[in-house]
Amino acid sequence: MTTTLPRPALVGVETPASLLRDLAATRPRDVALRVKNRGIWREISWAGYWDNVEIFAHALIASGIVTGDRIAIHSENRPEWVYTDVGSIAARAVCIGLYPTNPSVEVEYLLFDSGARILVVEDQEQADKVLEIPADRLPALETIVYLEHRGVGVYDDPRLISWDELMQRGRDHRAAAGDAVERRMAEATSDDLAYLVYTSGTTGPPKGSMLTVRNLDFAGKVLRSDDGIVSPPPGPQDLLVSYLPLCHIYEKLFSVVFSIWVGAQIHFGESIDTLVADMRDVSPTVVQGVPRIWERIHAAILVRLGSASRIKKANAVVWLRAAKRIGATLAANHGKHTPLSRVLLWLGDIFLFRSLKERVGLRRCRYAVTAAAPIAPEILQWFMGIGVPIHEAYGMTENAGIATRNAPGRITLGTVGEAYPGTEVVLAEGTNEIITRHGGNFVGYWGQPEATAAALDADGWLHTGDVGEWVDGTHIRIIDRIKDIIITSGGKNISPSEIENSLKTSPLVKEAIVIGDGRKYLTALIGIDFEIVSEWAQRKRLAHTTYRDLSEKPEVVALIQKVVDDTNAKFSRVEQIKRFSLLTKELDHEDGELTATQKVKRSIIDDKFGDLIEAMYT
Amino acid sequence: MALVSGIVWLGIAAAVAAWAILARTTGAIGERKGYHPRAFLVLGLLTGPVGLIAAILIGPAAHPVPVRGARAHGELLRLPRAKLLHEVLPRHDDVSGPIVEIDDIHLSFAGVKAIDGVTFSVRNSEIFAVIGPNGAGKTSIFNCISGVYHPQQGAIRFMGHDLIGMRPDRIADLGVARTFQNIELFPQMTVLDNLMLGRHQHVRYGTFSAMLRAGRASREEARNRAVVEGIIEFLEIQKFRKSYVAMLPYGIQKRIELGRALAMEPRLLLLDEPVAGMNLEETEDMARFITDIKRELQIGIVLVEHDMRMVMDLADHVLALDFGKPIALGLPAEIQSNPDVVRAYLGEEHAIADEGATA
Repeated sequence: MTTTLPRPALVGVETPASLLRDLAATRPRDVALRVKNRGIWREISWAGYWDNVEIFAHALIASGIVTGDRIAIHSENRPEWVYTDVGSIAARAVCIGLYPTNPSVEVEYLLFDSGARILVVEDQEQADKVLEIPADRLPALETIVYLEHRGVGVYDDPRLISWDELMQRGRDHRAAAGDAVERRMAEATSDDLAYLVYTSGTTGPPKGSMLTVRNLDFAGKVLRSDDGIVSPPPGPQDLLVSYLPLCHIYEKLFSVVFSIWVGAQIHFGESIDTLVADMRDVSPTVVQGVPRIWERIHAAILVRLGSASRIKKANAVVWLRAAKRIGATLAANHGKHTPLSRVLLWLGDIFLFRSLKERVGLRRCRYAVTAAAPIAPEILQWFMGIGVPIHEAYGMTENAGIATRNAPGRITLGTVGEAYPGTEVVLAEGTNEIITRHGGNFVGYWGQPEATAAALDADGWLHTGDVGEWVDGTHIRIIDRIKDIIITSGGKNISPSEIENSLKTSPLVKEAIVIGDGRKYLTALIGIDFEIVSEWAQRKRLAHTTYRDLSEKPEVVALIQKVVDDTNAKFSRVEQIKRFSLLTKELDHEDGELTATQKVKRSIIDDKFGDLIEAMYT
Repeated sequence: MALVSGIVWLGIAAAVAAWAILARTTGAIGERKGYHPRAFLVLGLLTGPVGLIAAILIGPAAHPVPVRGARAHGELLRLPRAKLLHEVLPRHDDVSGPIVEIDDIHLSFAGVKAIDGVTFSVRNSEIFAVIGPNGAGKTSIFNCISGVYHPQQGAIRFMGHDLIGMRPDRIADLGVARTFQNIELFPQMTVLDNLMLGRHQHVRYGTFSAMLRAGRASREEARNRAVVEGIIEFLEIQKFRKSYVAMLPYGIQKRIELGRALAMEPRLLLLDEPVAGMNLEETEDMARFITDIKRELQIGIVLVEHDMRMVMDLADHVLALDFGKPIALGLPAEIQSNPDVVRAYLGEEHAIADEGATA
């Protein structure tokens, strides 16, 4: 066991790799990762984690990877993902993640733009995407490593090599040149590039944000600090499930940075389809989610209760009313309990909440966070009401995901919270754009100095492109992306995302796009949630076949009209949705309508559904 | 925990007893249909607090993942990554000749000729397709091989055994597994249980051992479960592992049937219309599974299918039947252009034009 021997006195800066090596030395047998495989949760210790990372780094060095070379990975979340990630940093290379949903054209763009020399692909599906690109269009790509044999084993592209072969190469290299990785790590500096994180880009092609080791160190220290995200601060006993795309800064922050800086345990489920069962198995203590996930859980619970027996339903009605009351109390008190709400929660827990939370794996959750997109305050309040301590936070790739968060006991609903201690987050004068300055600020976009100059000014401020406003002088409320704000022909400034989110609080609505820039009034394109509306239709004995068919039913239009009316009741006169149309297809990343993070690409929507939009203005 | 549930049961028992005594003294039992309201009142008063106390006492539920003091296994764990099928199931590439030979079989029911002189053989690592219009005798051939029907004439040889006259379960033991045109699963059982049933003939422990769940029984159970888990992973049905079959979509049920056949560790796999009634995506998935099975296990596969595109893509050899008579046998391309085959399908164009045709 070479991994637990005392280390030679080679010191470098703290990188994820060096911290992992230290964890492997101090807590070799504690669990670092768990992965569910063939129905069983299998444990990987810190020593095992580091062993794999070290071997991978050796394999990179053996393959001639030098400082600053790019390594890409195209896979669902799994242990090999984090081995590749941290192993690249150990070899002072730069890791790039591709979304599993990226189609071949985007794969080509990302690999070409980054100039990756090695690509790790999960299986035949991802291998096919890169192999269909002519090799001469990707001159930098030398090696394609595949994790799963099935189907790929028979291909004869000379660039292909299996993960096992690559790791064997690493083991051989370690046996021959023992401390090569150690020496490489000792040379590491804080300015080493760790990641190129490609931003999803609702306009234009994705840009690669360059994040350095210093950025990660900053983020890691902020997250684990006493006044960071949760109190008591996170520690080795915290459990997380890794399920959001690991190429996005949000999941990277939790599955890699948080895990290593805090020493928490990360869990990889069986597949993306089994998330619910995996969450229930693990019952994580820290849950990172995006609004879509929270909305799904919320809708799933309500739908399940709807089909429960009469006694259960009656019980649920009583206690959900109590939950509403608890939620309202917490919302009014910045997330702090009153004695009454505490008693109510305790009782509600016994009669209902505990079993609800058990079902969805939130039973042990002591800190839940939502970020990456705006969420409706009603959803947050609902979760707070059943005793899930949920907090909204805000950050972006370009500041390593660190900007503001609602700290426990200092929550203001509808805001993204306060700046972390030791960071500067302010609103720019005149434009009210949110600007940040701290150790997490990235160093620029890969190969795009003009874009970098537009985002990072001379004084080191990062311009986020989001417009905000102060609430109580401490919390920031986000109004919208600067470029998304609608100015009607009457000259009114309207933030579409607030209206969209209000529409999306209904479980029936999956997608909502508010339109009205330069127009007389607002309209909306609405995509129904097929599963839920279909269930409703079945109960109404409404025969239907496809998504399109269901969307075109007058009964469904009438149903959605009610949702629109409810939303209109909450907004002022100029913000009323006068007309709406239902989308006739489900929006999809592969068809180019959504970004990899499921954000709507407005320009594409305007193109594809132009007729539908024009019809609402005639 | 045991203590808690003991208290709960005691409480319930006491409440029921109290209710019975009360009901008797008030004459509720046997008097009317509705029971005396006061009995319910007492029942409620008694069980209510007991249930409440129990709920508080039971407290946090046990989870499979320990929070503290978790220790990994001693050695540095190398994960079993998604493997090829032959790492969980035996690969049968040991036979060089045909694994099954059908020699001029004739089958008739009360004068109706169902099969009229069919001859073919299937080798390892071969997908052999049988096509033909409805009622051509395709499924009858399956039933002859698996021992449900006994042909009046001809021979069926499987790995040196003569199958004619053998009981279906003996034939299954020899390594012939099949799926059915209309799904034949146990709808009230879970996916896992249905698949574990497929391991039936690989169970070697006795009743006593099974009752104790110790020794051989527990070891074999674990081994069989490992095989089944490998199949679950292969067919990508992890999500449905513990779902009841009856509640699952049709396409998934078809997959589970294939899984159960695989669990039997077959040397010959008979697939009766595996994609009938499936949509395009489900059909593509199924085609992928079949080619992967062929490649990874190298067993023989006989396929009866109406979806011509799938047959032409997958099959190594095709036999075309019409009214029980073979009209052509050859490579897919030859069959496609064979005038007799085209004629047999005339008036049944919907069947040869790829999708949607069900039996």
